[in-house]
Formats: sequence, structure tokens, C-alpha cells
Amino acid sequence: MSDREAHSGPPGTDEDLSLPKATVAKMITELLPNDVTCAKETRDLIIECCVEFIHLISSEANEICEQDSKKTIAPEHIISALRRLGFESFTEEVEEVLKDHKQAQKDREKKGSKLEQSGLTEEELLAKQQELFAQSRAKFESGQQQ
Amino acid sequence: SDPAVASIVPDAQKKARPRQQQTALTREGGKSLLPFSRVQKIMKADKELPTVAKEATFLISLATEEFIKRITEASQRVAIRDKRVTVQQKDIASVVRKADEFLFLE
Repeated sequence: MSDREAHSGPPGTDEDLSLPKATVAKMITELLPNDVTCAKETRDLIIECCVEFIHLISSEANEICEQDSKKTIAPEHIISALRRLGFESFTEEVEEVLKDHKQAQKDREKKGSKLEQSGLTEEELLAKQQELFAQSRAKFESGQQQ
Repeated sequence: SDPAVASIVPDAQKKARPRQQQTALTREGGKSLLPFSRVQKIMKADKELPTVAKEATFLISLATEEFIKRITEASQRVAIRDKRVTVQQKDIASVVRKADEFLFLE
């Protein structure tokens, strides 16, 4: 009997360890003027470069994190990594989007807490609503009797 | 217009940003165009990395978007100088060779 080895590709060609081709293709198309296109192999090459880029930043951030005596890689470590590796110009754009992201998060939290801020549970709120209905019904009926 | 493209360039993103020109990519308020889980998986492939804060992964995702933008625009310039309308692999190679910060790609 022979052992059947599960077929696995060489490490690094795993589909999941890259970026979605369609998304990147769309990004590239939008970046290029209308009369310029990008060859398919070139798009794939850009994706490979991105993966290398991610590894590069992560490693550098890891070193910075260790120097910082922290156990978790924080956003500040990423920013420092970008600066140390000569991608200072990226940090402006990146920090701007991060601001929007934090604002969007705040807005989401605000929406959720409005309900919580009333200090009432859902049942209490429902009871209050019924009470208000009863009150207005009573008003209406007493008005009708006149 | 193509609804799939509209999600990348939504009408809501009409904020005046002097740095961006017409061909620049616009993002939805505070979101990355690249899927968070994929970026995370790529990072996790490096066993030496400790825990990475979600916001840190998010920043890397954004930086990668910027990287795509820079390398695409630079390569396009090379192609155009060469009087071509298709960006080819050799354009990427030429950009990589010239820029110090892209040396890691060699």
C-alpha cells in the first residue's frame, strides 16, 4: 500500500496569501488614464510586490514593537516602520484615512448609545410607549364625549 | 454606470482634497479597499509576528493601497516615456531598480 500524499503547492502560491485580483485590477484601472492599460501579468506582479511590501512593513514594525517592549504591534509601530523604510510620504495619506475611520467608528457608537443613554431597557421603553398611547387615547375619548 | 466601480468611487466622497487629481483613487469614508482578512492572513504567514492590533492591520492595508498607487503611477510614466499604452512587467522592474525604497523588491 502506498501512502497518498495530499497535494499541496509550494509555499507562497497559496491563493489566500495574496490580494484579490479583481479588486487590485480595479484599483489599477482607476489609477491609470483612460488610454493606458495594464497587462495581466503586470497586475499579478504588482500583487506579488504588495505581499512583499506587507511582509516588509510587518517585520520592521515587529522590530520597533520589540524595541518598544510591547507585545502587540500597534498602529504607531506601523507608522514608524513606514518612516524608517523611506515611506514617509505614505504616512500623511494613511493617517488621514485613519482619522476618517475613527470618526466613522465614533458615529456608529453614537447611534448605538442613543438608545442606551435613555437608561431604559427595551421592555421599559415599550411600556413607556404603551403608556403614551393610553394617555393620548384617553385624551381623545374625553374630547369626543364633549 | 457599473455599480461595482461605483462602490470604489462613491458620490459621497466629493470632499475637496487638494492633493488628489482626477485619476487618484477615492476611498469610502475610513474604509480600506483591500479585504482586512486577506491582509491579516498574509501577515500571519510570518510566524515571528506577535499579536497585531486591528488598527495596525488596517494601517498596513491603507499603506498597501498607497503602495499600489505609487508603483502603478510610476510604472505608467515609464511606459508612456517608452511610447506604449500598456504597462508591462519591465516597467515595474525599472521603477523598482530606480527607487531606493523599492529595493526590497529586488
